[in-house]
Amino acid sequence: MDRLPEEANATGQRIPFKALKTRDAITTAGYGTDPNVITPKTPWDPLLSRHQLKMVAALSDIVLPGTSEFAAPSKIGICNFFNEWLSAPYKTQQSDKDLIFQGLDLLDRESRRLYWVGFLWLGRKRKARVLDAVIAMSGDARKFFARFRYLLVGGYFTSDMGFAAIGYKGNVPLQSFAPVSADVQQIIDDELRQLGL
Amino acid sequence: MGAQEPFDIVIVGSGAAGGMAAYDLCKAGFRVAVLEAGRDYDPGTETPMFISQQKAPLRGAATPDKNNGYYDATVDGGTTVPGEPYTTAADSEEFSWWRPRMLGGRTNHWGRVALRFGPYDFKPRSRDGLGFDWPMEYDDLAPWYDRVERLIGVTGRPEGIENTPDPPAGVMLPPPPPRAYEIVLTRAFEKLGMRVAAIRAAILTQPLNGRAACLYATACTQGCSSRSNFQSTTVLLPEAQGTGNLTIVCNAVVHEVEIDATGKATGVNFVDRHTGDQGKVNARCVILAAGAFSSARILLNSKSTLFPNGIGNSQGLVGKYIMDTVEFTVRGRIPLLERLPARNDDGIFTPHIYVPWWLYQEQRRGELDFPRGYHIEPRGGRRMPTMGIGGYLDAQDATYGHGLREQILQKYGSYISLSGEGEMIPNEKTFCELDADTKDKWGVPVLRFHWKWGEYEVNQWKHQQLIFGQVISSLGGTVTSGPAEMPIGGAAVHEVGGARMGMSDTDSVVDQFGQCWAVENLFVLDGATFVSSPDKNPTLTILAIASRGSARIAELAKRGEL
Ligand SMILES: Cc1cc2nc3c(=O)[nH]c(=O)nc-3n(C[C@H](O)[C@H](O)[C@H](O)COP(=O)(O)OP(=O)(O)OC[C@H]3O[C@@H](n4cnc5c(N)ncnc54)[C@H](O)[C@@H]3O)c2cc1C
Ligand code: SF4
Repeated sequence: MDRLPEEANATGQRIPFKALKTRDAITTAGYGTDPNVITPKTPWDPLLSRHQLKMVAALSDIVLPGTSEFAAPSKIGICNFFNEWLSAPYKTQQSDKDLIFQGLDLLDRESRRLYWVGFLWLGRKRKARVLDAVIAMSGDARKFFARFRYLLVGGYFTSDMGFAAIGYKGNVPLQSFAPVSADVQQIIDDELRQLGL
Repeated sequence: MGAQEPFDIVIVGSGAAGGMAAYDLCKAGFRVAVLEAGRDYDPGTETPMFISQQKAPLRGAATPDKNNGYYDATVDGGTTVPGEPYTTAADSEEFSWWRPRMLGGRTNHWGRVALRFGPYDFKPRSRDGLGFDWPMEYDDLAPWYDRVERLIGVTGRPEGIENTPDPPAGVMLPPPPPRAYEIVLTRAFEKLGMRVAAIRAAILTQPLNGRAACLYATACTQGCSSRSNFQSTTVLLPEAQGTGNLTIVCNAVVHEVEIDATGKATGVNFVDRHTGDQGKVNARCVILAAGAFSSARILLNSKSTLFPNGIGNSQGLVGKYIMDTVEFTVRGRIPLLERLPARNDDGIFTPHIYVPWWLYQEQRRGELDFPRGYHIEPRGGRRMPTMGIGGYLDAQDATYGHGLREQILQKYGSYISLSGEGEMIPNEKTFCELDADTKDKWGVPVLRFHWKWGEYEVNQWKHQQLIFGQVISSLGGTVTSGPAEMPIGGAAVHEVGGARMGMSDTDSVVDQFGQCWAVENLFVLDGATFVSSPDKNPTLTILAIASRGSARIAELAKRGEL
């Protein structure tokens, strides 16, 4: 960990917590009503500071740890996803940005209260304890957790690797679409029989 | 364009109706101009096949710029079109109007469910005294359905279900086998007394007319570069262009039909959407196919000494009796689906089965508190993950860590949705008119909408809720969608009515061929002419009516009667 929490963000500007609302007036345009869908591009600038990106990575790996088969979110570019999402000029994303920025801040504050150092400096167990403390709060803190998790699982399982991790088998060209296999049919029949159908 | 003018025929709009008319009339040897408000669009090079959500901004999620997601084929439109507003009257129920601005219109991103209307659907008033009868019968349209289906390719299986016509042998393409979740749902549907039918989808399950069969991957709403589903831009317009008789003018926003002193149409006036320049295309015959409400708007804006209230509007019928579908969706989770092994559920994008309306007898006996039916389109399976995956988790449940991954993996594929598509009966309080105050960016008056669902639609919607809950619980599942709300008017995008057809100029704007009573060389060939809005999604019928109307135009023109 090379930086302390209240550092400059990527554009060199400090982001004072309370001033977040005024940044709603971001004028970056969206991708418009006729974007190139063959070679997609994201036109808006990423807003997250290096510290925030590290917070996102650390929290993501606690909330959705990797397995021996499928990498942790931080290893598959979840930070880029959050950076793109939270910097987007649309209303949903703007309100997510407020909630998530404040939540990340809260994690750090809670971490300092409990352990006297910022969240990033903690080991895995303590990070989880800080998260538990935030989850136990009500209101926006709880909303932050639920929304962060929502975005995280969305971002993770819509990644190319996430498709494999969730067991999505489609998106491949087929000559014909096969009927369900005999074993699947068997399970269906057994299940339905139990329901009296 | 000057050299070729006057054209034999000018068509406004290039979607289902405009594309169909262009196809038929170019093949019949007429020199045709198609004016399209949106930009040129080439599905061959612009369709994202085998997408990666990861490459799309925001993982492809819907935004105010792309209301149905990043990869959806809609160009320059959706629920708002920049510079082309519409308004909703203060006392109206909520209303929404979906418009694209691209060659091929909504056929590029429609859902491809292609159902025929049945015999009852043309005579609703004779059956229950409500709404209006069509000036034609099912048998009048049947050959045109056959023709259109042979051309575009529609799946199906002979079912012998009441008011759900089976095409003659050899017309239907084989339906795809049901997906696992559809087999499961079928048992629940049948237990509740419904008949399950193979889907009728405008998707090729085998090669047809030089087009390749479906690849069973990629959502049809993104378009299809292998031309395996029906799009005006892949099936109709290229063939029409092949005749050498077609001129397409894009970015041409038509605002009026011009009339001469004798009351004949001389052509249409348009504005170039980029330069704002005014233009006119002269033609011997004018066809409006801009989408039902847009065609009504053009009629209303075509004011002259002869037609001070707009063409065909002497009875005040233009813009009246507009309709949509009572489209209502319930989502649920069926835990038994969790126990099925992983498999590819992509299939042909649409559901592979559907449930036609099944309670005609009960309605006849007066056992239901609504007179018109709905069909059910069930969706589900292990489809391409979207940002909606986060919705698997209850916000109150604080699970994280390995348990979170387990929960997602377990629930994936166990969700289904049941969409009812129900008939709406036309009513006096649902209409559109010109807004006295609001104009589009070129100064042309826009439409103001008035929407009101009738009591029968509300009752039908309650029935949908009840039945969908029963289906889900009979499979041991739970409803996961929130509190039910009456659908928003227009949101089903089954936009019909506004220039209805009828038996005479006192009860209608056009005749059964779309020929305008007031101006004999003006035709309306899109859904504006619909007299009722049966539960069956409208597009196949729009195509059939446009084809029938085009044949009539060809006949009249050849007899020198236009
Ligand atoms: C997401 C979605 C799913 C759907 N699913 C189904 C389905 O499963 N089954 C079904 O039957 N239907 C479905 N529909 C409806 C279907 O798309 C329409 O019924 C059909 O496209 C209507 O054909 P149309 O030719 O009347 O209009 P369109 O296809 O919209 O074509 C009209 C064209 O006219 C152009 N135009 C408009 N105004 C002007 C003007 N002033 N000057 C010049 N050009 C103009 C428009 O830009 C457009 O290109 C769906 C629609 C949507 C949006
Ligand atoms: S499902 Fe088939 S028809 Fe539809 S886009 Fe994919 S390949 Fe084309």
